Amino acid sequence: MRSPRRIWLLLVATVLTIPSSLLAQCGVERWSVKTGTDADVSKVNLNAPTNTTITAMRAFTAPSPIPANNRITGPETTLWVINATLTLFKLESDSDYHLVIQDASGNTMITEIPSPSCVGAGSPFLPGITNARAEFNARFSATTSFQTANIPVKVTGVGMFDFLHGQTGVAPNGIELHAVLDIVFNPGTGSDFSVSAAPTSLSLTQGGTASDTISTTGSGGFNSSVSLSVTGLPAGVTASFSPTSIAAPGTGSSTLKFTASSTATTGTFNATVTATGGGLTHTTTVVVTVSAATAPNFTLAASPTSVSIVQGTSGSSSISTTVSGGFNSSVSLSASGLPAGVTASFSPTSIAAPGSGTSTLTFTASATATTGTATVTITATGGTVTHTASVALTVTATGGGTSTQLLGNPGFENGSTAPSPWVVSTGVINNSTSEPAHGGTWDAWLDGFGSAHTDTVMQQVTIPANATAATLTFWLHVDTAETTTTTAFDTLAVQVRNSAGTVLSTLATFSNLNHATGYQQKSFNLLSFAGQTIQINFAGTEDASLQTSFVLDDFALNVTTSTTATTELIGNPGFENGATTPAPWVLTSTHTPLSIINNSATEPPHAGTFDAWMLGWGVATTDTVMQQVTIPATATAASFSFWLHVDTAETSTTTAFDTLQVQIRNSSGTVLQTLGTFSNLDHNTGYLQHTFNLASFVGQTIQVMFVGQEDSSLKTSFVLDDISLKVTQ
Amino acid sequence: MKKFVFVTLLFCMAGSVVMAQQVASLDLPAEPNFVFDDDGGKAQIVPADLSVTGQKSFHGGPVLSTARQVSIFLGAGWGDQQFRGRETALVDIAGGMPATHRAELQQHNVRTLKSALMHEDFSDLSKSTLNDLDIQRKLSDLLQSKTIPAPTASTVFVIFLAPGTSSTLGGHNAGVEYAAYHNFVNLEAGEIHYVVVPFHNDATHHTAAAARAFAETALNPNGQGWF
Repeated sequence: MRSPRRIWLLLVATVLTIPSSLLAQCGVERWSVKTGTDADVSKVNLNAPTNTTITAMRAFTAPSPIPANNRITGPETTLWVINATLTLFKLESDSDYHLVIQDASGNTMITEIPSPSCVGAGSPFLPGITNARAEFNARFSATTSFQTANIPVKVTGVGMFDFLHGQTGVAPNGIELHAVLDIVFNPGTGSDFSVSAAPTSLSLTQGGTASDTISTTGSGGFNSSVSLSVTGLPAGVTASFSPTSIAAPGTGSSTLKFTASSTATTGTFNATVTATGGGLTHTTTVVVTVSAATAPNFTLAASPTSVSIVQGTSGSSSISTTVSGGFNSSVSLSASGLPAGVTASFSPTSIAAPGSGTSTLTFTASATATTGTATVTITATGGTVTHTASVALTVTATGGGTSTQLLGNPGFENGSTAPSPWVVSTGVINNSTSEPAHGGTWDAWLDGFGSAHTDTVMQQVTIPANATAATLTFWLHVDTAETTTTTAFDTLAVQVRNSAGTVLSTLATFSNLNHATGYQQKSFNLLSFAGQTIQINFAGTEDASLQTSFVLDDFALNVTTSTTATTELIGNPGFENGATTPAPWVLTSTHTPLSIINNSATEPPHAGTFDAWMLGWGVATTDTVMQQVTIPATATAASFSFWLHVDTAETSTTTAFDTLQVQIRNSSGTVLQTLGTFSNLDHNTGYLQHTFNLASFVGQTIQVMFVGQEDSSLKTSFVLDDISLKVTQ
Repeated sequence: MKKFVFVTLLFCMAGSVVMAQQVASLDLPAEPNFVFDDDGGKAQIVPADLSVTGQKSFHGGPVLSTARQVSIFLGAGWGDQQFRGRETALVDIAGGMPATHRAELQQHNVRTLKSALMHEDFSDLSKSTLNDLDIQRKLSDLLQSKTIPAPTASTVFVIFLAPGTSSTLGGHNAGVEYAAYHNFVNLEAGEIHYVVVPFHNDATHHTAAAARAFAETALNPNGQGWF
């Protein structure tokens, strides 16, 4: 008996002589294509082997560039069969068997058998690769050195263009069979048969069934029955053949029926069909996707979700439904919550069965329609399912005004690279079909380089001071090569700037995450810039890799101007007379002496010199600021606004210890409505403007009242300035 | 004593088998100073003995018209303060390149650009020997995560391995058969040219190997033109 120590030493010595490269390592370059886990693997038809020659394979034109994760249709989507001579083979460090095959004229090409451990479990190539690897191992022992063979072979594999890198035996165009799925040594001309499936992939729902046709074809005098079996099924899925075998001489078909239980494992699986007859065995693969059962249902969406219209005009939103889970019914549509004087209509009035489609919802406002913003509820009902969606509808007063589109050259249709009055960065104006226009011929194509780059598009306009509505709309298309679903690597900022280029507001920021097929219309309210000269600016910023294109077209800045008079009812709106008791304001305080009107730098005003600094003592205090006004009965609109700054020493993020109520009272002091309540929880840096509609108080004498209450500790300051009540008549 | 003789004999036998495979005529490319890499392509090496230049002549393949070094210091060993000082000399190897290499580059109108950003990855690599596939996978990860800039036609990533991290290429060993090498790989970001420089205790030898591999990358980026 041999000494155990000696055996141990022998083992150690053997292990130490194994090259490190023999330890499992997988390749990198085009590895997904080489092993069948690429984006285009479903295009490979594994059930139609095509005979070819090395000469024909070397005649393919090599693509340039060679895509990293996609296939070249034809050479790389076909299962090729080549009869040739195996001359050389070697085990490479990426665990491939590198086989050089040669034809009678001495032309060579490479065929490679990857290690099954380097092939993704979901690859449809995996059963074939495993098969080919076993066939090769049964004949040869590959090592890290080249060995000669000189043996006839029939190699079956999928085409793949490799990068030319001085590989031994490489075809001039880099074409390989990679991966090899079958290799037969010393192939004869004897009888044989083939097996195929149609379709090669199918879908199965939990609790459902699906069928496939398995066909066998004998050749070379093959004469035997062929038995059929299937493996690789997920839990809960069974399969049966009808008939269970193909009768001699072995050419025929059988229906393969898959049945999934209600709890079958979901996912995508490779079912391997094995056909055996006449001492020969062949396999084919059916990709089975099991999905969860879903109840019939549909989704409802509105685009845009906010619509602004002027009295006497109309506006629309697109209402779309998408069915799922076998839903099959027409879907009726209705709208509720409309302001007085506004009607809604759908075209078509319902979505026809099976229930997916789009209807245009049109709002039409009469000349006297109630102004303001209302939430309109869209109700869709089909079968037993009902869903709702909301559209924010804003109706603004016409004031007998006119509507004007302010932007020049809104679709870039003069085709100029310097499309005045737009100011654009170089190369932005585009008419190529790569990024087609929304309307007309031209668009503005920002970025899309895949390297660090910034493009801009800007136009300067002046919004009239008497504008009653100002809406910016444009159409945007985003496409990207980024694959992330979480990180905004490339962005498009939509900005409003003053005429000096200082950013006044960023209306929105879009990114690679917003990519979508086709254009989407975007809409923004610019009324707050009335009376200003502004720049509408789009800045597209792309990082160092993977392109994102932002394509803009068909802009509009529709402005409605009023011919009616607007009157400010509030006297001394910014407390700028500096008086301690600044009439017509009436101020009270439980703190003595009365000290609300302020011009200290501790609480600076929103504008001018003075403001009303309520509370801020850190002891129990009540302050009020009130002014009485009469809203004329002829007023068609009444808008109350003020600027408020809140700072506090309170640290709570949940409790309103100190409050400021904004009230409307009648002339007797009775509270008619509390417009809003602010507290220490609303603290912020700087001022915020708050606006309220007082149209419901037309014809009344009212008191606008601010009531501030502070508790016994930790001060909160409410600072008011530039209070306004504008009425339109 | 008998045991020692037995084990020694085993090692010698095993070693002779490995050597026989490695000298097989098909296991090395015909071009001097080339080896087969980990997936069967050819890669140009800088011999461990820098005095061995080999016979080289230009066969008309493409060259990089401009070459910019982007340094990657890979491995926890670079975190050791006694070695960090060496990084300064390595981040601009074109600047200190020997006149012979500069003349070669000039002869073929290759301009070297100011070296670009340096990236340090001192993370635990979980293995002490990196082969070329490990290097390619690391480059792919760094590019996908945008940790290093996307390459341009000028970019040459120069990967300096830390002390304690060794390198193999197609079964060949750093320090024994090569002092550095260059190769290329095609990833989603495009064709990537890179140089791998294993650590060497002698700073002069270390820098010289890097400079030679960098120059050969510029002159022979795809291994077709200069051998």
